[in-house]
Amino acid sequence: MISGVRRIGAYSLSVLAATGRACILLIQMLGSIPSSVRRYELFVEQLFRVGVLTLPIIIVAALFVGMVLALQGYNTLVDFGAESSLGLLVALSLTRELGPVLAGLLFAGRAGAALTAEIGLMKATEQLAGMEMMAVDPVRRVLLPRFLAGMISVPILAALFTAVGILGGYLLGVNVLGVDQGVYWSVMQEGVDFQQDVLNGLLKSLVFGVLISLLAVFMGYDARPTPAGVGTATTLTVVLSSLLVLAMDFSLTSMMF
Amino acid sequence: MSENIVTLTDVHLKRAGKPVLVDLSLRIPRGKVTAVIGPSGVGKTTLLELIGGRLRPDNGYLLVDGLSVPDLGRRELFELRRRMGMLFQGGALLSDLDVYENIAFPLREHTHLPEPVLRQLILMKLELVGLRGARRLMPDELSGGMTRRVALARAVAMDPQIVMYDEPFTGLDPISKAIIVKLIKKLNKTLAITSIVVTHDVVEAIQIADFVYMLGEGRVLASGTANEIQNSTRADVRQFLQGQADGPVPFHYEADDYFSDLFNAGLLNKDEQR
Repeated sequence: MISGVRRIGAYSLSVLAATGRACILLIQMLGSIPSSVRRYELFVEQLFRVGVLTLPIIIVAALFVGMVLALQGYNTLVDFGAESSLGLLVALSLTRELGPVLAGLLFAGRAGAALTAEIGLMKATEQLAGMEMMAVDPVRRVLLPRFLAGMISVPILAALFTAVGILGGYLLGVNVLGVDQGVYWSVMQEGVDFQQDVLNGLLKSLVFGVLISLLAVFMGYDARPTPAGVGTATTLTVVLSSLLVLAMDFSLTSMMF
Repeated sequence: MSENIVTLTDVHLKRAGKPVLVDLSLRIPRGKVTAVIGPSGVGKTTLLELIGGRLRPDNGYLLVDGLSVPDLGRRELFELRRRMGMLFQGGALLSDLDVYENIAFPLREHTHLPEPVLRQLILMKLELVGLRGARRLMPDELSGGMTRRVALARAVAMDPQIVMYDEPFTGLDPISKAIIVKLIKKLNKTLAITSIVVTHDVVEAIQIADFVYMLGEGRVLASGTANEIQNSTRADVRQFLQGQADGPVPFHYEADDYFSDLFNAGLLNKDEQR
């Protein structure tokens, strides 16, 4: 009984300590931005590896999500004779929720896991220690470009997800289900507010981007330098960032809309 | 310039509650090869981490080239590390860069040399370790001995004053060992580098070292020239040099009495109950 309570206490403390270390890492990274501007090519390289290489999965997923939205939305709307609003339904669901959230989840699985594993293995094979001994700060050289690239990539990927999803809805809704294409676009133009819907959606995805990228680089940097340690860290990155994205989405939605 | 480039005075260090170094005092002469030998787990690698400023001692003084390492700020420490090279046991090469780029790494980070100059410097270092032809190989295509030679070329890329070798001979075949021995000597001579070799390979250590420290239980057991160490009459030194399984350094890890431990199954001690 007592030992159970003690274990909960110890676990909570370790979670708090890790959160603290993650915040310190964030401050270190932000502080080293000015001196790293000169090395922007490192950032560009990561932008490619983290962002561009995640594009295929984002586009394919978005296409299917858009089509499913159109199908489900149409079946429900048609009962009320409101199938002309299909465009609005698809666009709002994607800009407000599905774009940012699904892009975030996919990013965590594809890029976040890879970042953690990469950094964790670099730590396990003494590459980070080696850099330190060569007077190169691994936080600045390795972690910062990856963090920034992830942070920037997620909003862009979310925007692309939304755009491709709307196209997917168009493909199915207009070509297969027979919604009028002019109506599909015009209800969207009428009903989607730039600031309220589009900007808020982007803001959400920026928050997700910061969360996932910080978690990914921190988990790798903080991993126990063993095979099991890197494995655990990678799993934790995916699980925690998925949960955090969903929880953050709820709080952001309740504040924004 | 003082004669000793590294000076440790009464250095005390605990790790996870256990003392690793106990009042350790030693001096490393400038421009010489100093070997630090001793069984695994007596704090040899820890010693290198202290000198490199990756760890801070709990007590005592640690001077490197006149600077007190534990008192240095981050910037000053990085400044000092540019004058140090370290050879890690596993090489610690960056796995996504090829041999050429690995050696270029410290130069690119710390200097703004034009590409042709950089290329000449890198090829000179590679020639030194005999791997000029392997410049386009990736680290995972190298054998253990080659990995260590590339790491060595990288460690001296910035022309450091001190190079620290962490177990440079471990896990190598006899030919590769001989090559590393030769290289350490050569680098020490041609580049006037102070070399600190931490190892448990007695034969190689004695071959190259001008001066030998033998560590045991976190302190210096014996010190002297290679000859003096070899002729030492201390029992613990002899045990290590001759590789005997049992002696002053016990075969058994510290444990309770064997007999009572075996037959006390009913009365498990507290540690094991949990």
